[in-house]
Amino acid sequence: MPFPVYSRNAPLQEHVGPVHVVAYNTTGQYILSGGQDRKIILWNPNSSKLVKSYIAHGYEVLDIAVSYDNAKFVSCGGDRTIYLWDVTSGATIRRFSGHMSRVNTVDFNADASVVASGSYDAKVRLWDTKSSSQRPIQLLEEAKDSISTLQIVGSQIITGSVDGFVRVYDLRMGQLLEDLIGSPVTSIKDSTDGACLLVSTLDSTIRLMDKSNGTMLQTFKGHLNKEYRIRSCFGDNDVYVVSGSEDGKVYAWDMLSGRVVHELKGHGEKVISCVAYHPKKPQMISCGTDGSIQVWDYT
Amino acid sequence: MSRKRPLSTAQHASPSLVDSLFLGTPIADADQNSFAPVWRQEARDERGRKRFHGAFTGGFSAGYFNTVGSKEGWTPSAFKSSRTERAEKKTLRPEDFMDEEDLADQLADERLVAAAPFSAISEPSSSKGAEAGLQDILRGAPPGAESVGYELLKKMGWKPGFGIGPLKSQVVAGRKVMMPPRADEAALSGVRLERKNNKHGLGYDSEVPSIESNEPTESARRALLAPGTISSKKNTGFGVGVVNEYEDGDDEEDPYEIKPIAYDRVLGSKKQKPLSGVSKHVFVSKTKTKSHSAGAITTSKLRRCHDGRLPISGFVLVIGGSLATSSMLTNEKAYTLPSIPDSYVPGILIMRDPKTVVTPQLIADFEKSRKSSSSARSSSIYHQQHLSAAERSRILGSAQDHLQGKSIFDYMTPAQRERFAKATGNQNLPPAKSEVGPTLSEAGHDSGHRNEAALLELIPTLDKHQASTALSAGFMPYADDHEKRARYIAYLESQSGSRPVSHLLTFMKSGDSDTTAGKLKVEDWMRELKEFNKAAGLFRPLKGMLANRFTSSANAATTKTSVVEDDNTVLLQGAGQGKGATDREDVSAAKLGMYGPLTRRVSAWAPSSLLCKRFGVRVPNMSAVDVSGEPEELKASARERLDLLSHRKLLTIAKDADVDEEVTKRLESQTMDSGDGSKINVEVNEALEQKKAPRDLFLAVFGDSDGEDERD
Repeated sequence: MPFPVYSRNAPLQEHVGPVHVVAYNTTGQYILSGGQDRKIILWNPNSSKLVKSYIAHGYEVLDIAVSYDNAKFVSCGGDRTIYLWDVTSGATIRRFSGHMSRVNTVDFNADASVVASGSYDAKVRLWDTKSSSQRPIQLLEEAKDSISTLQIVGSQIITGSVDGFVRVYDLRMGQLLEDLIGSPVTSIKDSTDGACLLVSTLDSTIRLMDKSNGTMLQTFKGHLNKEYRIRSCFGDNDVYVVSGSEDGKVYAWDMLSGRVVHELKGHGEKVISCVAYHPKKPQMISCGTDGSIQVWDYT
Repeated sequence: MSRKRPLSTAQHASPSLVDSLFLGTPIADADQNSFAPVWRQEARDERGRKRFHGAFTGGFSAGYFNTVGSKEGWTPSAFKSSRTERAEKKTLRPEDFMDEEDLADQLADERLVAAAPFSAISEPSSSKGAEAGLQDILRGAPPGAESVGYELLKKMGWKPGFGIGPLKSQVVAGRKVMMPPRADEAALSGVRLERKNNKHGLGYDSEVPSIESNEPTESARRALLAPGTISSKKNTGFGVGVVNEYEDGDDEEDPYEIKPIAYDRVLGSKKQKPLSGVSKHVFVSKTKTKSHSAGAITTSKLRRCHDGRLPISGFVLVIGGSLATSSMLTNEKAYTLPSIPDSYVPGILIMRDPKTVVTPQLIADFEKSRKSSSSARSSSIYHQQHLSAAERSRILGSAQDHLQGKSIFDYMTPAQRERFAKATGNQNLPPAKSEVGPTLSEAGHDSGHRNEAALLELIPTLDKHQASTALSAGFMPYADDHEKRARYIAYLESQSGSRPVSHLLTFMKSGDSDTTAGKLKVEDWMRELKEFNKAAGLFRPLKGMLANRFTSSANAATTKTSVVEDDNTVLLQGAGQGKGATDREDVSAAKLGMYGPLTRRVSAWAPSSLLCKRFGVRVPNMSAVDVSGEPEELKASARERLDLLSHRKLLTIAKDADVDEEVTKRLESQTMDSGDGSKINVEVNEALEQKKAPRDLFLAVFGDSDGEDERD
């Protein structure tokens, strides 16, 4: 399928200050964005309209994850708390606090019963949404430095940390697999078949790692990632690898060959911190430090 | 003949008043108080309340008098509030809590102020925002009727846009026409800016009644009194009491009244009136303002702003010239300059020797010499147009001439001077001469040995004993810089006495010209010596027991394979070595991009049961976890070594104890086979079935030696 290269004329500009995260919901009908201005905004990307804003965070919003049924989402940020929201009413269902520093990343498990959060304090906390307990179910303390990214895939919790390790906690096997990448990890995405991991690191490289034996399958270079957390993702059923960059361009590589296929300029040469690809259509969204969210279509 | 009135009519009227005539005003019956004797009179105040409450008559009050209630007590008013009849809310005003004093203060503070439309003449809605105008409309005021004055002006024929004042004759289209004056918005806004011509402070109240005195002496006396004192106007002298109420009908005169301070009194002059400011009204005719000479300046003198409009009233536009000389502003008379004698020549007279005494003779000589126009230098005084800085310093007798007449520009290159000129925009900078400034070496050469001695004194000293112990320390710092280490050792030696201190100077550059590689500049050299001084205190040899505990890393590297007395250290070293190796391998592999088994670590991790439940997986059996990989091998080797050592120890003990040779042989023969596998043969239990070691061995190991106590 073609790659969405055309950006809409009017980017979604409602946030004041950098936008840290954009995420599609599971169907791709809506996007959620969170930024430095402590707001979370629900948009309709097709109509480019703001649907709802969620305001409760005391500090910037750093990550958002949507539950499988699109009825709830979870957000985290600088105020060390994780908020569980109800999408339609906009009310905060629950708040999880316990982290000692800013929470960098959150994710749901498959049935949204567990929320995993990774923080600057090098710990991952696993929270129970079904009970009303204030304490996490479990604490993962193996990392030596800030947890920058995590993802729950099936019965595996995959975390990436600034200490250069990617850790896969396998619940079924009772194992912890630690892969040393070398430089601080900024983004982790599991492939759709669950066999590989896309790892972005602060040496301007994205690596495709084999989960089974820890070997590197492919590298993707060309973008700039030296200082900030830039997220990358797969696109179009793992055909493409898409990433933001610090030089204001969205980069797209062909996953098999590792060649750069597209370099799309946007966001006024400012850092593009997050990209997300539509689960079904050839559409993607990117957000950057200029405060705008750009929707990219293929026409 | 008057008929007799019937009885019935006569019965109504009182018998005494029926036929009587009333002349004059009847005595008010009510005020019996004033006609009673003093001791029977009741003291009441103007409001009719009883005062004194039994004081002076033997009584006292401890209760309700003039407060709420009665002798019987205070019964609260019945409170009734129902659905139909609501309780009445008693709202208390501040006046209810005030007594006479407060009420009097309140009355005194009341001021009569004009209401809003009457208070100032202002153009409607041009000065204020549109919102204000809108509000007025909502209030019901007719639009445009902001101030009454405005309306009055309009009624009198004034149109907005005109100024205030009589018609002026202006030349319009070649003809002389009477036109209303130019508009001045400030006049309408009601804000009048007056120029301040007096020396009063801000807030000075000219209304302060100054005491006019008829006699100069009295005024003098009063002037001498400190301000704020109680003035006794007419009450000085004998026979005059303090309180004289009925003098001159001046019962307003309160001798204790502290009059406000009047600063404008002048001694001895009764005719002079204090300077009073004139309160200006808005409409002031031009003639009146002229006479006061304070306030607005006539329009003919005014200059206009660049757009043709007049400046705000009270302000004067001064274009060009100096403010100080503007007679318009000072409003003072312009005084002529003093006349300068013809013989005057502007300039400065300079004495060659500042100490010479100026006598009239000297001046006369100077005058003569000047007139004769002989060479100026021969006289002791000479004349110069301007003084230069160098001259000034010489005259002042400043001790040092640091610059020696040089300026910074002498040392600059022309390029640098250009930079300066460009930056400042001043092209008149002195020319750059690119000289080389005096350097330290020159200074050093000048002083020579004297400097060296000074430097030697500055070297930080170290206690001799300290220096020698520092020398004998096994560890010398600055392992990476051998030269520095050599210098450090030299310093220590110099301090301990084995080397002359002057030898340290060899490490120092003798001057700028000295470009020997190993030598340091003076500042660096000095700094280094200080550093050495501190380091000597730190790097002392470890003594005794402490020394055994620590080994330097260099030693550890060389003694990798040696067997040390203590078992634990070997184990740790071995294990440490192994782990350290893997870590470094890890990182280097990652750097090379060789991701795989080298970069991967697998370990057991137990998820909590609740977590497994939430994820819908079964809790993994941790004992069955096959954690394959290097760590396992490592453990095996470590285990092996343990076995090996204990075996060896056992062997030595057996040998020492002169144990049965058979046993020792068997022990020796016990090879690594035992440590080989974890294969467990269920049928045979070697530990139990082996022949028990002889008693001698047991005694050697567990037995009591001489001096050991038997413990129960």
